[in-house]
Amino acid sequence: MPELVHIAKVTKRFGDVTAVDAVDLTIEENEFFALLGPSGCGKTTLLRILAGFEDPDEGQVLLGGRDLVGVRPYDRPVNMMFQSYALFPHLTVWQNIAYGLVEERLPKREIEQRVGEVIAKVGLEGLESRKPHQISGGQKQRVALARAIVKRPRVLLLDEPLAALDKKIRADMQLELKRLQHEVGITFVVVTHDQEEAMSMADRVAVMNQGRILQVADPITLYERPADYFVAQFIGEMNFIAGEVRDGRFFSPELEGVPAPDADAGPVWLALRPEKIVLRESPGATPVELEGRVETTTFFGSLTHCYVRLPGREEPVVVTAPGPRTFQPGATVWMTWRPEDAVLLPR
Amino acid sequence: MTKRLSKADRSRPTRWVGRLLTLGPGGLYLTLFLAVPLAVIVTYSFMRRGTFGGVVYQPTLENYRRAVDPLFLRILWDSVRIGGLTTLLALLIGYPAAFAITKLPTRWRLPALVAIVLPFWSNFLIRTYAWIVLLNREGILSKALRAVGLTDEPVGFLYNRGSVVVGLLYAYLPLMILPLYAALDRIDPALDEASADLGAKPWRTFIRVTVPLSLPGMTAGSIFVFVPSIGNFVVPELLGGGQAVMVGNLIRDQFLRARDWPFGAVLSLSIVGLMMILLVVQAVQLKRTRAHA
Ligand SMILES: Nc1ncnc2c1ncn2[C@@H]1O[C@H](COP(=O)(O)OP(=O)(O)O)[C@@H](O)[C@H]1O
Ligand SMILES: [Mg+2]
Repeated sequence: MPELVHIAKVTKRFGDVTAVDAVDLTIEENEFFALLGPSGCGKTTLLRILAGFEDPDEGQVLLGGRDLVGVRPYDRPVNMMFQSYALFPHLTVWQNIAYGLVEERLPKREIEQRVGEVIAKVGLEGLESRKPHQISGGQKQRVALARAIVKRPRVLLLDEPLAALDKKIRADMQLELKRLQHEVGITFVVVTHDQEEAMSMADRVAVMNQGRILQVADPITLYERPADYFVAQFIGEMNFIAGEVRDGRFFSPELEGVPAPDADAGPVWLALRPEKIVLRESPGATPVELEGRVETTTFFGSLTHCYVRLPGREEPVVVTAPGPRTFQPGATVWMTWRPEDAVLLPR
Repeated sequence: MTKRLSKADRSRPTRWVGRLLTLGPGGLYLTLFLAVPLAVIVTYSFMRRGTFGGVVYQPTLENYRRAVDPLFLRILWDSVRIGGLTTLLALLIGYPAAFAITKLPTRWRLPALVAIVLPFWSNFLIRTYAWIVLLNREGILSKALRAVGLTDEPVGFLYNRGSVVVGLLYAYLPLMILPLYAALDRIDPALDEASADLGAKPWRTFIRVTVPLSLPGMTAGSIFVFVPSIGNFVVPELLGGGQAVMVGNLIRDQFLRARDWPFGAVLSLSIVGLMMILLVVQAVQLKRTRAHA
């Protein structure tokens, strides 16, 4: 897919705080892109730089090859859905949605037609003449969305679009946002601190921390091949074993020489997803094996979580197995995995 | 069931005492300084005048008949026009001022607001006299005009409607700026950004978002300026020099010079009535915008 947005070496400081730190990013045409990171990591600032509300201290922002730095927000073919929705309280739902088209000085008939279409698309029929204080949170969110997509922007920026919604509506809206993005064919850039949300909606996810982009990848790669300790622990559950790579093998107090053919020598974390670990009740003849004692098991119906304590280690290792599995607390078990399922991360 | 009832009964007197204590001071104030004087004025308005002031308790509608006299109505209309012009100018000057203050860095806002109300800390009469010093024929403005050669003769700016409006404007401008500031300050800055994001240039955002959302402040400020302006009698006296008579002067004269208290009472009630209408308009509008927030 052709590249639409190109962010090059963008830095933004507020006093001593570097909110966005030398960020490089490309976003492709028609992509559902997510910016994922903990609160305060600079996601909103990066989005505001794209919208034109903040000028970067350094770097370049290109949209379709055109340099956007210095272009005012009202001249950018970019729209934003604000975290607080920022609906105009004195205008009706219809007037809120038509607001941006009126600014484009479109003919009245075209405005009516386009607003009508969008209202149908997001399911706001019948609420056209309500004021924002007369509709629910979920409906406000739809108005904010409709108001932005009716402008047919090149890029739609969404700042925590689902954060203010109830958990139940949120799941529905995740699907709906995804469907809508397909339908309207607009590039979506969604900011979120919720990793499940990012993983379930986005084509690609950029993980941010402290103003930096740590990894940009599709959700599966991000889950299976995290490139960084922060990414690995931020997304899903992960077990970490501290150790060292020497001569193509991983060594730790618990493990003697797990094959790690591609790893560079030096101190590393061995990162293992709970579902990649196989539990056995007797030792196998393999160096990829840890002996431990079962602390607790929790049965979740489709899955069982097993917490296994290793000697000389604070945190239990988490193992998940499909279906019901029971171990007596205190039972000795052996854990093994395929060496290629483990990820080695610089420590 | 019985238990619950008795519990509610027991709490009833305490509730009443609580209400009385919280409503008491305000209620007392309203009774003493609003209800009682208003009742007195209404009563006076239906009585005959006493020869040396006061009233003779003989009911009559004569005072009301006199109040629809064209002479009085003209003065009332003049006052409304002077008050209206003052209010309009206060709005035109006060709006940009209040708007500018909301755009100041946070730490400069309070000093700016204090500067606006600072003149209130000096005596009203002295402040009004200061305008005489500025505007009279041998005053500072006249001398300045001669110095730059715009005129050879001394020019007086006093004793006309214009000088009354200037005096009232000066006196009541802060009452316009403060509610406007409060209304503008309450507007969520994200709305400005949302408007810009949707393609509106700053002046379009001003017209489509800022002005409509500051309407309650405009109404409140206008009432705060208009009401005391039409009732004021010091400014027309000092700066109007008897050329511009306003209802305030007329009322004062009825009570203190003509000693016609009942007619003065009717004139006072005409202003009270005008005020009531304005307050109802404002209350309706406030209710509508409150719903937004
Ligand atoms: N206008 C501002 N002035 C000062 N500091 C700011 C401003 N905006 C953001 N910051 C700081 O920049 C950092 C990143 O903020 P933000 O982009 O809002 O993070 P996120 O959206 O990821 O939670 C935070 O430390 C925040 O306090
Ligand atoms: Mg944010």
